[in-house]
Amino acid sequence: MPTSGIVIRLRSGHGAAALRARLSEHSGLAGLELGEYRSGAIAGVIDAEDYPSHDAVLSALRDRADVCAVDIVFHDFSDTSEFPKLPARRPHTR
Amino acid sequence: MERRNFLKLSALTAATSALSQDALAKPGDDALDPAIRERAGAKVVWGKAPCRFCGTGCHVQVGVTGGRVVAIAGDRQAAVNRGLLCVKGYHVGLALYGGDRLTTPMLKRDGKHVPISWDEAIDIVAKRIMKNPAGFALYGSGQWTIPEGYAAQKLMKGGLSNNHIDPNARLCMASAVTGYVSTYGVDEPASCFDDLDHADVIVLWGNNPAEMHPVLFSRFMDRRSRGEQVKLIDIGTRRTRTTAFADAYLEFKPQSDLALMNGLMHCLLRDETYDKEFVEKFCAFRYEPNGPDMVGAATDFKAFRAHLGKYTPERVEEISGVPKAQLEQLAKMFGDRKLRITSLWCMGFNQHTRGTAANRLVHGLHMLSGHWGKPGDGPQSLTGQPSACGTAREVGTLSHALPGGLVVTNEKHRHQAEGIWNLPEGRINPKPGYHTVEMWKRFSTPKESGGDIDTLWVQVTNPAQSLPNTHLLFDPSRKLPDKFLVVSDVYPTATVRSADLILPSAMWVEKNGVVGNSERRTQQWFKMVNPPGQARDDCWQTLAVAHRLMELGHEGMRDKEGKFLFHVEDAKGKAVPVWDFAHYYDVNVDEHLFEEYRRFSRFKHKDLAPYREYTTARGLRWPVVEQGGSWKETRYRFVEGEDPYVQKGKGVQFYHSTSDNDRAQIWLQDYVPPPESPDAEFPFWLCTGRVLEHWHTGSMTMRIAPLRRAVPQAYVEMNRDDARALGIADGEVVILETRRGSIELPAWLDGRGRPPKGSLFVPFFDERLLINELTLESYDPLSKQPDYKKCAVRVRRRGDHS
Repeated sequence: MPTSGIVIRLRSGHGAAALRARLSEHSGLAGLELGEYRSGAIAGVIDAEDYPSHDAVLSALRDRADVCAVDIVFHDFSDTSEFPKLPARRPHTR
Repeated sequence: MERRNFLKLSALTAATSALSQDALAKPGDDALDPAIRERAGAKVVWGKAPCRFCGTGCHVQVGVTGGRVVAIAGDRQAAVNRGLLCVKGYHVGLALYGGDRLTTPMLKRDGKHVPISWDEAIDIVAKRIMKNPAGFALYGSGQWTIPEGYAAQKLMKGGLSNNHIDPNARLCMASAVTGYVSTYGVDEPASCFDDLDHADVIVLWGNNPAEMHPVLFSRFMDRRSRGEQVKLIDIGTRRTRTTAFADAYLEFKPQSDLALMNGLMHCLLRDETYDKEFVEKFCAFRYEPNGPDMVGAATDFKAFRAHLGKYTPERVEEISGVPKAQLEQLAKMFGDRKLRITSLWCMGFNQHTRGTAANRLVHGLHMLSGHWGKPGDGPQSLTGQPSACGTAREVGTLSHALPGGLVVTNEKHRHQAEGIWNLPEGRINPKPGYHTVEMWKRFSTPKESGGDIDTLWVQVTNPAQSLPNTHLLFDPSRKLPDKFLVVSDVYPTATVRSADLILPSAMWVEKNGVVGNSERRTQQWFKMVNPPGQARDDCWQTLAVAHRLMELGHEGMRDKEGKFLFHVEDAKGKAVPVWDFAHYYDVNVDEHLFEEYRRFSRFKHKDLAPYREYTTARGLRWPVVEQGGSWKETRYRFVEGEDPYVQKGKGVQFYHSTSDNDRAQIWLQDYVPPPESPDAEFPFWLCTGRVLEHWHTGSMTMRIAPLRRAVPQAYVEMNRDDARALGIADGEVVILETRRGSIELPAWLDGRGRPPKGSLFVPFFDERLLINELTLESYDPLSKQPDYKKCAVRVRRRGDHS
């Protein structure tokens, strides 16, 4: 269950209250909790069941018109066992 | 507290804490965050070093215990990054500990690499060189440390009278070099990163600093987040992560940046908003009557105005695709001298078949508009590699160059170098050697067809993956029986696996080092841990080969008095056999070489301080001159009050002016179409480049699990409309084909980069997906730098042969 502490930077002219209101209506962002607002940014936590749903929340946030950037400032995957399979490292043959 | 809730609380605490802190440390802060020092514990010993990766030159604090690097933190005393690192920087310590480090010299016998001793390996290299010294070439790197590059330079040019030494920086910075030299008479930025703290407008020309120079990007974005008005103008051929932060995005057709800059200058003259005073006092004009030419011929403002007449906004829109309204708006910005405008560029201008022209034009634009020479106001090229400036450019490890900005074709320069090296007159060959593309072409051509390079030594770079058109420039050499490839590296890269002789190297803090970053900042570190197995310093390898050559009787390895070219003495004046690795660290060889090299730095006013000054500083920007008992660096060159070499009363003085009148050159340069454009057979543009998480060919970063997990393989970015028209789904593996090669890659639609219709982008970090088998080896006629940013390609679905 990957967990991330995030800082959501809002585009100028967009307020935290409006973001909270819109996010509470957005079912695709399950696992997201918002914290304190300060100087154009909101602290938050993504607490997801797995990486696909964790990454889906991040993508959905980053795609929002009122969001300028989302930075991950903390990440824990100590109790995650399922990771996306990596391509095999086979050497390139010439 | 239940563990899950504890983790969520920790995450929220970290995020809340991040809200309240400035991103960047303040002057006077401890180098290391006290909380980190405390958490790491007393057993961790911390030391400073510049990051191993890019030309930003962030400083890191390296934590070592038990002979291993165990922690990395941003160095809060470093002026460049002020405690901040990027995702690669935070993981730089892990670059040393990939599971397959090279630890033993290996020789290919009967198709297999077998372990041999260092003595045998050094003997093999020396004997190959002795057999045919003129057929030997050394391919180095902008990731060489300064002493490494200097040793290689001295061996080749001072010892072997052989100028076939060229760095991989030929592939990244050569056009910046020719642009600076032909404009100001001397290489390297006149400005520095302080511009990012002062600019009102930052114009990005075909670069993506959000991913490629993220700490520098953070420096000016941090100003924005604190409420400062800093405008960002992104001028590119595709939308990138940087574009998301831009106030304006100008999308231009590949190569038409040349027309754009001419168009801007046209508008400045049309509207009389150019800086007449700056131009009249400090600029001269030059053109190329006989085609591309480093020297050109003098001309005048009248001819310049006439030349720009054809670059009307309408014409520029036709060539570039940039709406004239956008051009006019940008021109208006440049015409406003109250604004401080910094232009930044990197590979978009440099990896360009008219890269020299592009560089000249951006310098000309800034000088014409008077946006020059003040903090935040000027043109500044950004460097990709950690020491492309410090080593390739300043030490001059290019086939035409000598240290300190001197050149082999200049008799006085050769004598100056022979003087410092104590060599007999005439030792240095006046004929430039082969540049990178030519060197590899010759190595990959049979001897009977003119392939006169038969032994090639590669250090600190991966040409099998990074050269353009590798089917032409690299692969054939592996099938020619008389071609011998020696590779010094740390991991089994594509180049290493093809080598005839493999030499395992120490990397980063496994050796002493000095490098020079993008803003003329020379930075030093001491060895902190041992390399694995029998891996040894690249510099030692060069010295050892030089000594073996001397033992074999090569006279070039001795100076005028018969001393070894790399004669080193200890503090008591006793000779130290540094070619014997057991004694290599009896003295600081880096210091010895640096102090000798430093003597070259005065010729072109690139003065370096004594080595010892760098051991405590987080780098110093040259020229560094002694004033009042301390060593003072220079932020801005050619500006009175900043540059110690500018005469009083001059204001701005281009004291290396090629017109000998203290003036910089504004060049008349035309738009020229690229050598290969999309056509009916290959209807797309192919552009290549990097991603944030991976450093160049990925030889280090693909072995760092978090970075590899972030971006595990290469892909092709496609425009969604193009994909739809071809029936290609997101993630579907497609086939890319150029006239040179083909590759299969998964398509990524609406990814972090968004090319326009008719364009594709592929990163080159993945050794399993060698995009450089498809790229074009055409190069700028002056810089010889190839163009990785534009060639013609087609894309089709698997099974679709139409």
